[in-house]
Amino acid sequence: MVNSLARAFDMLLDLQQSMDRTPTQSWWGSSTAGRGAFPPVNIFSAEDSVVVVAELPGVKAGDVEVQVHKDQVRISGRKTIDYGESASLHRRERREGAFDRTFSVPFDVDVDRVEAKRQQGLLAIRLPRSEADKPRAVTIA
Amino acid sequence: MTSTEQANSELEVQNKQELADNGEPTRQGRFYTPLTDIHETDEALTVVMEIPGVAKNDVDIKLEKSVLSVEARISLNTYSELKPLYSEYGVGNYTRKFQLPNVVDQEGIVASVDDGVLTLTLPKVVEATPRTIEIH
Repeated sequence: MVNSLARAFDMLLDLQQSMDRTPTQSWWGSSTAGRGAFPPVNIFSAEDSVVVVAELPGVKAGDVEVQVHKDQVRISGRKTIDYGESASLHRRERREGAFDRTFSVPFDVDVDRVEAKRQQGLLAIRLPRSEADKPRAVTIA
Repeated sequence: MTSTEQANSELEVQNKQELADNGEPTRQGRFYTPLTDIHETDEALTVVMEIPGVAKNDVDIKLEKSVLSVEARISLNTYSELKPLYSEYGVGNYTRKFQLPNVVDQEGIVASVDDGVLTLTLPKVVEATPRTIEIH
């Protein structure tokens, strides 16, 4: 199970990277001004929801904010790194700075049921589709 | 660029570096090189690595001769209920090796994982810490 998942990730990433070379992506649709590329996200579907997982290692709890409005999701915040006063740097690969990213999902989100969780440097946001946005079966008389 | 300037600039995505082929790992899945900061104070060397998605128990730190190797394995179980739709970053394990200088007290190394960041504190041996010699 786990192995097949690892392969699925490999396939997905390859596919995605080739798709990224095409300029049009329906996922992003129309976007707002706050759009940036950080943090990188992986998006999954689960039942009626979409789950967005963002990589934010070292970003503290109070330093990230998630806003949801209709079909727009915004992740913004700041990553700071404290090296300590008297430290001399040998190697510096991690970056700090502000981030602000907005993207849209293909349905209206039920804002009251949105769950966001930070774990192990990942931010997971579950975005359930709102009842009002779901298609309804019509009884045929 | 000064530190404050960097703190105010907008963050850009740093692409994950896939490990160059260096003997095939026994486990399937990709291996990435974690972004690492190393800084030094009078008392210790500190190694900070970004390993998002790794639980504390899945980090292996080994010290052999003076080579420090870190292997961090992600758990894919969290994803078992989910169907992937879109991907911007690779999900995989992390591994990296460093040659330690002689000044490190190999017995006293302390490691902690917090918010996807592994911090290793490598204290210096007493002989290597700078001392001020008083003149009488």
